[in-house]
Amino acid sequence: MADRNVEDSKELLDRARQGDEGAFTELVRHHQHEVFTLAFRLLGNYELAADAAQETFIRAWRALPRFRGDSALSTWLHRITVNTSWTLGRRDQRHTASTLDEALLMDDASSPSPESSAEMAELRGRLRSAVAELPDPQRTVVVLKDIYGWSHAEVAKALDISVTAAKVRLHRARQKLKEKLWREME
Amino acid sequence: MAGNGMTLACAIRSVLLADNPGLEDDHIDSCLHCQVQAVRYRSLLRQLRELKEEVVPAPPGMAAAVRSNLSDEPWLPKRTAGKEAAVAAVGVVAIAGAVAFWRRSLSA
Repeated sequence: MADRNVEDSKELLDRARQGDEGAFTELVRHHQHEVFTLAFRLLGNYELAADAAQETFIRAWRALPRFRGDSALSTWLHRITVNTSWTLGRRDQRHTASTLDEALLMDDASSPSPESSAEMAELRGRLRSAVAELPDPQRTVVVLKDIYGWSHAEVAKALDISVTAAKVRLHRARQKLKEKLWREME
Repeated sequence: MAGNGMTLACAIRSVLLADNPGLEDDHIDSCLHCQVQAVRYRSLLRQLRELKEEVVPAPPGMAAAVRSNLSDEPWLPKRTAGKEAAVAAVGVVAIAGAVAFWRRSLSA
């Protein structure tokens, strides 16, 4: 089944690279939620994240002829999302941060599963808020490194900073998160 | 002593633990303060990783909105057409040159 999906995606990708708008739209449908989620985590604003996600797909469409398939399509889209979010975030300073809790409430399907305890939900809610409250540069590094599992080198390259700077930002961000989370619990 | 039982060694471990929450050494083995910090770091990183599983649904109609913008975008066929035109132009120049060279060699 997974293989079938991979084949379908490859076929869609091949058709999209030939200029098939319908095939590309299907790819957008497949990847829109993950792209939007990443943009939302980076920007902390629902409307801005929607703009960033849409712009990401437009940029991807333009760049598709240069996509050689060295990395997975989703990895490539994530990189474009980071660049686009960074650009839009700097351009637009509205940042009336909507919380992830509010965004998740907009979709019933993503409500916590019955087995998840109230305590876990509360802890996770506090963590989301703490991440959202980090300064932009620190939040970006935490999102990419700790949530999405990028390497220090990948984070540094995407943000056009040195690996050392990425590590320092991460260290400061983790310290803040740790202090904030456990200070509230104590 | 830096307060709360924290020593200089604890402060150093605090920096190291942030990069490597699984760090184990003699100091941590014997320091309750650092053991607590290590547990907290591990817990923090695990919870952050788990956040990746949460999906924030994209606004309805995003795919349609993207598609409606695609037709305004320059795309491969146009670029290919440009490339083909360039190749054709080079071909025409080459043929014209060959014809000119052939005529000149005939008249000579």
